[in-house]
Amino acid sequence: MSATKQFRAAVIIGYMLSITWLRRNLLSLVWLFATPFSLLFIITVTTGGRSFALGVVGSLLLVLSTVGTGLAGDATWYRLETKLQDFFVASPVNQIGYLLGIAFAGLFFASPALVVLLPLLVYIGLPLITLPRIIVSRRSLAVLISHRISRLNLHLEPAKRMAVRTPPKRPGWNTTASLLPSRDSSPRYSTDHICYSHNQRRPSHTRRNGECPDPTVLVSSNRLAAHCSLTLDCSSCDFASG
Amino acid sequence: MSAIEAVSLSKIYHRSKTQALSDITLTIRRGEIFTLLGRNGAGKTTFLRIAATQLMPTKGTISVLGHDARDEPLEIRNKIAVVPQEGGTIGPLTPWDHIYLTLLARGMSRDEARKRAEKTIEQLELKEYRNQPADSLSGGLRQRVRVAMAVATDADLIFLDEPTLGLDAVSRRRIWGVLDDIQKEGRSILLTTHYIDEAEILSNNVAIIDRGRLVLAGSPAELLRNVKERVRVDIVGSGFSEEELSQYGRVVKLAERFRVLTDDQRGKELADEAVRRGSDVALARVSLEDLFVELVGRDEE
Repeated sequence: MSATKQFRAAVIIGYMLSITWLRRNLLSLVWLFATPFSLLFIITVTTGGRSFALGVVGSLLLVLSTVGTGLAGDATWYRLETKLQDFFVASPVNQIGYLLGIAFAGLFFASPALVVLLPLLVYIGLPLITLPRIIVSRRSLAVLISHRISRLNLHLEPAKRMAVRTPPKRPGWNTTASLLPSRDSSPRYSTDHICYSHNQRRPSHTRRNGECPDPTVLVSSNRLAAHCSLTLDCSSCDFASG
Repeated sequence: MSAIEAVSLSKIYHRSKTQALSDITLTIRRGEIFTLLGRNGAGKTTFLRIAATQLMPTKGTISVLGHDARDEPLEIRNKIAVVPQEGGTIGPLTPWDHIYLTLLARGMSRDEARKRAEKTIEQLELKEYRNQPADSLSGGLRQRVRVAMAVATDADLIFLDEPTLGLDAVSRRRIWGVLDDIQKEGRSILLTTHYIDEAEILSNNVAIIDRGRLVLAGSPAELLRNVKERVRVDIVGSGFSEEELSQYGRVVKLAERFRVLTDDQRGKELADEAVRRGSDVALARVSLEDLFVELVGRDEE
């Protein structure tokens, strides 16, 4: 069979294993909606609506991961119990067509939730075209949090720091590389975090980001620069002072 | 050209270290119904799965419809259909969905698929259940649906792995009728079954496999020529002792009855004697079943 016919076969197998199921088990739609949207509901309610965007992203990932793990089980079921794999292997449908069919079935199962979640994703500021790249990205959640949610000014700086160490802002994100954190993940610190020898501290939010425990320590700026580039916390400052 | 030609075919399941097939050489002609007979675990399904390109042989060659199963599996798959052993149906799909969607997936046009699905549903008497979800059907009906998924195709060679397992006598005969129609269209069928009467009635040729080895192959009539005793006499009643019956031929005890396998003359004499003593008696030609038991059941005895 030609590639077009294989694709057609895959869509038919996907339809056979999902849409017909959904049509005859309408109640399963409730489950398909309930799982992701319960997460969205909980996150939205518990944060007073401030983390709605996170909830949407989390729900989307939950849908995709649930369907993904479900597919593994389905494939086993169709191979061992219904022997559908044996049936299709010995037919013009090739392996790729069959597996694509099962994948389509998963996609069709996820479609009710996706129909709602994808517009929401656009609403919170994520262009849909980036979705495939995010899905395949190893650090999808971290990337979403670190790069995109910040656009919405949700004041999620503490959460961002917990998830990833924030690289500096980049001008655009058209390339795949822009989606991923810098390979050189060592943080770059501005001089904001340095303890100055004239005993003046620049404002900083956390101890980790450079607050000196003892403001009375005096360090020459020349020596400090060399040591602070190697270490993160101000213990190095103490060491330098000694 | 032959439908299947196997030469010195062997299969070892390395994980379980089982020799499933050993040096099988077999030819199945085009347009015939060929049946593999054997006990459980004899290797019938393994042979069928190798021919259907679902398993690779360990040794030997097998060509299906002119294509080598090892080198040209895709060419073979375009021309075959399979009913796997003890498979299931998909819960909410109706018999119509199973048949029609399968035909569409195989690349058939909608009109052709609809026509063939309608015809098969008629043939297998599934019309009444056409739009019922498969999970509400009985086991026998579901089995009929699975058979329908394969026989509705336009495949040149159809593999049926115990297609009538668990079916009632009427349903079995219905499937036999469909297989007969397929043969009349010039298509070939490879069948495995435990029902020896089925093999005897349906098949042009039969092969008996035991523990992975080919014991005997040929038409049912040819195979029966290998049996020394030509007739069997079944006697029910207490009129005879086993010792007495053994003077007429080989005696097999079957529950409440004795079966005596003997030649024409002595069989007739025994039947007359049994009638005279008032026992229930049945005289018949030996069947493939008698031969099968003799060939593969010896070690058990």
